Amino acid sequence: MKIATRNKLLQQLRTVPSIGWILLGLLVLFIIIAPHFGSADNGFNLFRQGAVLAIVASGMMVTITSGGIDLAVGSLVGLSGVIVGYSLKQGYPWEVAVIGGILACSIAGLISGLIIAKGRIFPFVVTFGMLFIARSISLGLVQGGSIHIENIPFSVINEGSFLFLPIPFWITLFVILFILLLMKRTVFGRYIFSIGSDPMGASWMGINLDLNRILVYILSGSLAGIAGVVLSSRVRTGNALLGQGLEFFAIAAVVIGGTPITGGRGSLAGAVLGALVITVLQNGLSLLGLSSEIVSATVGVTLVLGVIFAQSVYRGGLRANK
Amino acid sequence: MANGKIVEMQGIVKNFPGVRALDNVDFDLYKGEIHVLVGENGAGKSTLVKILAGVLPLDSGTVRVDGTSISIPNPRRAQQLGIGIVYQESNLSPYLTVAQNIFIRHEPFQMGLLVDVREETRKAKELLESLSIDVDPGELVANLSLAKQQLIAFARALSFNPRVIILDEPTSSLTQQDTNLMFTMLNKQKEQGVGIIYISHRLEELFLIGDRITVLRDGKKIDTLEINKTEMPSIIRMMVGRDISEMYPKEPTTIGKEAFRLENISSKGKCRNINLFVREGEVVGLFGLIGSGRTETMRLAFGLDPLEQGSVYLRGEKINHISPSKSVGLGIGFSPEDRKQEGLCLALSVKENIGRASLDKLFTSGFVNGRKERETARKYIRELNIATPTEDRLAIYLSGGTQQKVVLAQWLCAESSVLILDEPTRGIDVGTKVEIYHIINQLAQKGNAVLVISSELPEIMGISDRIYVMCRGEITGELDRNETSAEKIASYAFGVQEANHENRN
Repeated sequence: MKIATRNKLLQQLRTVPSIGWILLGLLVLFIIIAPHFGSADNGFNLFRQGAVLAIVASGMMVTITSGGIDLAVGSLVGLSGVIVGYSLKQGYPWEVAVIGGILACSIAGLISGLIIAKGRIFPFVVTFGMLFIARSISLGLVQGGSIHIENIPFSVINEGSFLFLPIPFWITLFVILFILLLMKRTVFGRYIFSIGSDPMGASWMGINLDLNRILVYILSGSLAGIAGVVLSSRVRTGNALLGQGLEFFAIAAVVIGGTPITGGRGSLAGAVLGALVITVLQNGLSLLGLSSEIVSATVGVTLVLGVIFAQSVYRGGLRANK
Repeated sequence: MANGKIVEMQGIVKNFPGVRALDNVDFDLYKGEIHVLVGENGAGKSTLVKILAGVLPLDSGTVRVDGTSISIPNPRRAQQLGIGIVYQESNLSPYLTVAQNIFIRHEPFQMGLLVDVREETRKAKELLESLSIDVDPGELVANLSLAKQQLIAFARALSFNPRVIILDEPTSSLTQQDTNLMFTMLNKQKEQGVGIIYISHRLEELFLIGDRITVLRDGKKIDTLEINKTEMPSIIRMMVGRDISEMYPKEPTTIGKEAFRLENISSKGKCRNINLFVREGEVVGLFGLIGSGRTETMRLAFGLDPLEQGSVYLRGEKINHISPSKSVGLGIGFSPEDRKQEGLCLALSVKENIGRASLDKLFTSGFVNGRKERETARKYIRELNIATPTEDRLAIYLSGGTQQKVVLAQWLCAESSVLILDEPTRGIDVGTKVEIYHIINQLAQKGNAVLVISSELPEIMGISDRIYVMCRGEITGELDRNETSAEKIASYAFGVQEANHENRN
């Protein structure tokens, strides 16, 4: 009887993505060795810092599951922030500014999606191009500098809290639940798995490849837009270079979370945990007083180790199935 | 209306680059009948049903459903018309569940937007139970055996309540028990008036289940017959049909000692207990239909896929830890089926391709010596009569036959004494084919051991000293050059040797 319950517990624990244990280990480690890491203030900070990456990584998980990739998300985060800053400076209300920032990124995603689906061009190439186009537009709007955001209601997005938790946390939670529903309970989610594992087979089943691929990049762009709003609210600046390199952290979060880069399957929980691992590492190492080069190098090493670990677990899992 | 024609295809023509896949084919299907479609690999069976399923467009001809002429531009249209298809290879999504796969494209909804998961599971369970398929609807498809996946694909086709079901080699991965289960289901559908198109290589099955049979050969319809008025040997003759012409210039060689031997090679889902050998100076043919495990076996023997069971011997010595680089080093050459993808680097020049497998041997210093590379390439261009203006021409610009010669030169340059040639003349014009056969003869005369994999019967009979026939992952026959006949090989390859005997007795 005792063994049975223990086995059940073990079964439950196995469903946690392996990255969850790494996160737990890091949390315990930093609480012990890093001063203030465990404080409530820093906890709130972690939520605020992690929100941007978690949102972008969730979108990237969908894209990668569909057999694609979106390299433009980092520069779209920047674009969104710049458009918000620019619109506020022009005197538009903050609601309009936020919608404008997100919408611009949705349109960028739509354009990438159209070229990928209708032009049959590799997502890597198209979104790599979009990365530079979006950044150029941002740089043009801010004319090389950055726009300071003074609008008080807008900064509430970052500083405000609801039920004792910061608003970025709630936005992230909303995004995660939305994607969870999308992937588990809508036909779009089903089609994404099908298209990612075998596009030709999916079209033979009667699935509209073009439409669903376009939707993937619209979703990815829109989420980058939301992340950009959150980030620009935190730093109170619209800056074209905000979000630079974020696409690679997002891909890393997805991959160490157990989603194979080849598509066809994906783990949302893994992607979010992966984003938290990266955030905790950056935050914890900085609190230890390490210089930024060392922090970057340590994050890099951890990412590679994390991917190796995730892949070996993935391969082992496959073998156990057969 | 019980015996009306549901589907009528007339004068169907379909061209692929360089090949006429279907040449003026007529085909029809009645309500409540099982119409069997047979033919060799490449005869055009799959192409014909893919046109009906909306996967391939046709070049000319008409398709009528219920007497009205229609076009089927995409699979969605076929679904609307009530045409369901189960493909040869499962196209289910491995990381969706059984229920999710069955209802993809016609999911039950809740509030118009969300998939009603509970209803979906319930309906899937009901469907699976009614078909006596013992699978949990919540299981991931990746965790199911190929046979179960095939049954799920069939259940999916039925879930649309189709009027026409197309089955493209549905039983190739099924056990006898599952095959019987599928036959029961098919007969039930047939009684309900569904028209069934059934493609299979297992000829003995056709007599159990079919009403009519259509034989295709080289894209042409040979005949349509009532099954109970025909016999197996005449069907095989219609499928094979060709005489062995004087295309195959076989020259006598002196056969020496054993050069290459496979012993008890097995790999799950690929092949079982393969024993074969090739002697010096001998050309051995390995015949089998696509999917019979020929290529898979040789890939194992060459080290391209991990060898789990069995061993490979080179001149009596066992090769341990086989890997492609080890095999090449020992003088074994493998010319793959898909020469453009695997055999050649299309973006490299002829000379670079020729030297590709022997860079270590040619340039021991580690630096490429341009003059030596050029001279070596020229030597093989002369010897094999490779039609290229210069040795610097990129491989992509060469014709298929010339490319194949470059692949052969690559292995000659690597001093291979054992050559495995997988479909060496696929897609090559007749003239160059004969040249390739001459090269194979020359190789054998020089004492090399050559193993040719082919699905062309006349070719394998024309060039081989000995022939192994594979069927469903096993060697079903070994024949000497003097005791072969097309019917004999074909019946081994289709796995009907026993049935054939029964018919005669």
